[in-house]
Amino acid sequence: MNRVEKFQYIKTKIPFKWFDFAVLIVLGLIILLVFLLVPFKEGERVNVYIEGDLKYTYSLYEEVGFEIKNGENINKVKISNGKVKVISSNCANQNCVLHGEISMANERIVCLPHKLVIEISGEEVDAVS
Amino acid sequence: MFLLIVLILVVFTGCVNKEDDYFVFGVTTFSDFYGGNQEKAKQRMKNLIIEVENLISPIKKGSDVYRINNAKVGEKIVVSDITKDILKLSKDMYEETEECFNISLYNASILWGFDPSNEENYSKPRKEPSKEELESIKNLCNMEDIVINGNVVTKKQSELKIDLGGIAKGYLADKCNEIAKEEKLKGGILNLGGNIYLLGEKDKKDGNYTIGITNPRKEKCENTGFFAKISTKNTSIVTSGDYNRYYMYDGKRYHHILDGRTLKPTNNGVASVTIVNRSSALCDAYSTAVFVMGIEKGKEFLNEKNIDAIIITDDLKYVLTGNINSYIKDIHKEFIAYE
Repeated sequence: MNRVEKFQYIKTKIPFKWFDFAVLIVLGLIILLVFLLVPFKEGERVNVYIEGDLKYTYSLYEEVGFEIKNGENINKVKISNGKVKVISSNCANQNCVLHGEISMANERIVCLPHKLVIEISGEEVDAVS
Repeated sequence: MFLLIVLILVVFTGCVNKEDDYFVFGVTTFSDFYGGNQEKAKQRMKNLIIEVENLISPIKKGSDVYRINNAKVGEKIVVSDITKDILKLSKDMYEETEECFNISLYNASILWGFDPSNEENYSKPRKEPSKEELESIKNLCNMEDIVINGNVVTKKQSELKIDLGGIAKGYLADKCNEIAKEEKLKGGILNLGGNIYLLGEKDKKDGNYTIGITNPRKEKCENTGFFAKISTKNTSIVTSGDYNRYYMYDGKRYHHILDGRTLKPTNNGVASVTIVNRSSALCDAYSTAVFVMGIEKGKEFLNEKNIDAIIITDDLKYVLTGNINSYIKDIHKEFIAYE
């Protein structure tokens, strides 16, 4: 089998040419979907401040649930699909839980009784007024 | 001895229980401190914030402001030096701003449901107070009825009530800046629930921090990003806006910035006012006052005093005053300059 024959052999032996195409299209769609679902905001972080001090930072785009403990104060927080919310808290007024989800840069959830601030920081500015 | 122990216990448990009431400290963040005795600086600032909060909270029993608010006509209330300083500052600001910054509107705030004890319900829809109700407090909202003589405060109206919330954060931010200087801090950002103080300069490039100015009318815009950004250092930035602490009722926006003349939420087309100045107390008082003055009067006032400021209106226009033109950037494309 010389080179030419080899080529011809390979060409005839690949049965599903359209299959390659389909794979490419599917891959393209997945990439497109990722871009559509995850807005292009690099470096967005979730900052957790307790009594004014930055204690924890998470990526806004991780899927994670965690507890913030400060003495007897406990707030349970969930980050999912680029959104942050306080699921439960043992504070008196429950404002942090009622606040619901935040997802935009510089939005914050405050739990006043626990002196807790959860803030989404965009890397583009140092503070917001 | 036994009595002493009981006393100590009472005092201490008292403190612990009251911890839940912090309004300033609860929303304060300290970030990116560097240089000097940064830890000591931060601790001193925290102690000061807690100290001041305990003195000026209108809902904390025994605080200076609580005692003033519950005093009878002519009763002499002795207050701390800090409270005295903030009261004097408030009087000065009242005069400087042609009575548009007014700490004696607490009765009106209560009537509209914007007092701290009603914090959970700020955004709940509710009816306007009636004409009669507003009429009944008309004579109980006059700054002249509060007399400061050294550390002694007296009132000419027993029902008069004050709230220092509109200036205390500014006063505190200025004091924290003094602490930062004493502790040789090189840079850092103090954010007292929206009152920002850039304590020095950034650890990068030209030392300027970038501060995003909130778009007060995101709901009217396609792009919900900032109104603009400003690059600056060693200064305070404060914004008063009707997008914080407000409620909607029957299609109308009711917010916490009350006009002393009508005792109603200010309704003059202004959506937010940002002031940039080394005195955070000035920023605090002027941002509120200019909001109440309105666009034309506010513009004139700011130009006259050469203050760096941004006024943004409900119909997506803006006014820039002082020197702010030289360091503002990326102004939102859907806003136009006010003519």
